[in-house]
Amino acid sequence: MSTPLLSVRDLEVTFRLRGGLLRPTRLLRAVNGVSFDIAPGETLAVVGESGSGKSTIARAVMRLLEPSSGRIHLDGDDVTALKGEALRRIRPKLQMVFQDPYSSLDPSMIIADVVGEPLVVHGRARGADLERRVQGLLEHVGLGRYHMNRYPYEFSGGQRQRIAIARAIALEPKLLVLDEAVSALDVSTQNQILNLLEDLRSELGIAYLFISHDLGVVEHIADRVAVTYLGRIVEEGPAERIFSAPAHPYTEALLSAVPVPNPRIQRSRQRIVLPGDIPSPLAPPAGCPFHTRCPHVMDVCKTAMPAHTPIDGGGSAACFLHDTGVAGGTRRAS
Amino acid sequence: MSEAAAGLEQLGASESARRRFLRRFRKQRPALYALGFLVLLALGALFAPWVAPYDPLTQNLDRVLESPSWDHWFGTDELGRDVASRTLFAARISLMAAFQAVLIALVIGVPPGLLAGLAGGWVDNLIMRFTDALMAFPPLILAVAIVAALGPSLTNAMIAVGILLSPTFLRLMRGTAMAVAHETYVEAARSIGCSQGWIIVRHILPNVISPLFVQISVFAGVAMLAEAGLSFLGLGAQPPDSSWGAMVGRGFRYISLSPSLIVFPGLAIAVTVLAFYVLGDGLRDALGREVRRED
Repeated sequence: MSTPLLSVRDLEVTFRLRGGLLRPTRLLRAVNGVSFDIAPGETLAVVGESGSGKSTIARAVMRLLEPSSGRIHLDGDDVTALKGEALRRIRPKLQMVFQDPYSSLDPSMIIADVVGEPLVVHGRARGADLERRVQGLLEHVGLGRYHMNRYPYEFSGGQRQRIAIARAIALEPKLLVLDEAVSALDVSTQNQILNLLEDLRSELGIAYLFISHDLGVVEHIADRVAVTYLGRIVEEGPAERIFSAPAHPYTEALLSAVPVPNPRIQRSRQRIVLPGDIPSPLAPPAGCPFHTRCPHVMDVCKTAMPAHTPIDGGGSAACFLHDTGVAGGTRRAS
Repeated sequence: MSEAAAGLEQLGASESARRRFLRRFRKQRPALYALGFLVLLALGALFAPWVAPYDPLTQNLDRVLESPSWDHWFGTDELGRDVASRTLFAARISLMAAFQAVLIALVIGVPPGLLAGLAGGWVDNLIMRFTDALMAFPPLILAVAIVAALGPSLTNAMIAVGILLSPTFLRLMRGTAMAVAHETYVEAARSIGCSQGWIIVRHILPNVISPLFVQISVFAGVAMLAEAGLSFLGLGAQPPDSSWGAMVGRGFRYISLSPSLIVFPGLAIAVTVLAFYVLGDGLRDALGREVRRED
């Protein structure tokens, strides 16, 4: 792999929950020791349940949140500590599409202004040139020019997400962060948007950080997948390997929950049902965060945190089942 | 999208925010009547010298305290002046006073409210504790104190009313600004690299304006009522100027001789204040966000 476009090392995001008179201030560690790379033009999907910290990762990468520790390099530059004007200047390189297209567009602005705003703010275009470019962007995402003077409330969810994408690619970013960008849409609209994203990637060579809880969607679009649990990445690797040979028990459980569009296969499949809920990030369990629900739990899991171990076929998993360095760890044949 | 569908969409296309507001406002019948009444009243007040049947200050001591008649529709007062003309001229003072008070309340309420809502932290705390202290004061006492300190005049009375009304504008702006600042589209604006100033001017201000219009309309009514009360007590409009409240205050002394003297200015106050309230209600319904997603 060439030098990564985005490189995240040991990212940690902690929220302070302000206490009251009788409640102490508590720390919520939403993201804990997360590292990953994204190569130019590559799509990395981050998957996990709600509360696993995936949206927090997106917001920290976008520098909409202050990471409490760790480093973020974009295009070789350290952007972790940038603030104010310096941060504004690197913004064009990374843009974001938000989950809810109903709240991410300013209701008081017409579409021409919504889509043209990034160009205006960064002084890239004005006047007739601006109008021409906005028109081009709208056409790029499959919307006609006559939409330009309309307001967001006049559009459907799918159309709004197209508008949000047009706005996000206006500055020709190198990285697009998609935070559950298709989750709020119905299935047929989802497919249209996913196809649009595929087209944009091949045309413009944008890399995607694709945040989703929907493995079915991820399988279509991702080159690589990172699985998060309680603020940590428990497994990461090439999409093909993750979907065909998941190494971490949590990934296995997630995959077994994805419905197969064939009733016969679906009925005969073995579902791995995890007991209980994801533990509160306010009181994460000791040792491996997954040990409270893991079907293969061993004694060592309750006390020690497994390190990332390389897996055959690419990527790594943080699980003692694969960690040959620990006594009692048996390497499963799968 | 097919050609036909595209064509259809084009036909039903673009409705500006203003036109959408007008379309929805037109459905608010009572508010329309209220607005019509207020416009008529404003025009009548503006052109009072031409519209009024008599000079409001000309005395006719042969015809004092008369009941309504064809010559004097609203009767005459204790100095034989035409009450109808005086009511029309007093509308100028009353409307102007309400306008002054609301303007003062806006000027001292809105900027710190926005600041408190957007800055948060100790700035917010400081501004809000100050506001709480102001609101804890009994309003009438505060008004009388301000007028006593500045001297009795209508403008001073309206400064007092403006100060009293400002905390509500302040709180409204603080709350709305806080809510808008946490909207995803503000975060989205930050993510594309908008500066703080740009975000406030282009994204936050346009979205906090509409609740303000509703409050302005309602408070114009409240200010008018407050002005009437202060003028009734003699703390507002000073002779020879007269507002509706001042007319009621003077007429009150002759209530046993000529009850009609307080009826017409009193009615004018009641109807005008009601009109402002009804207009505010209609504006709220037409601007309201909850019904915006009609589809």
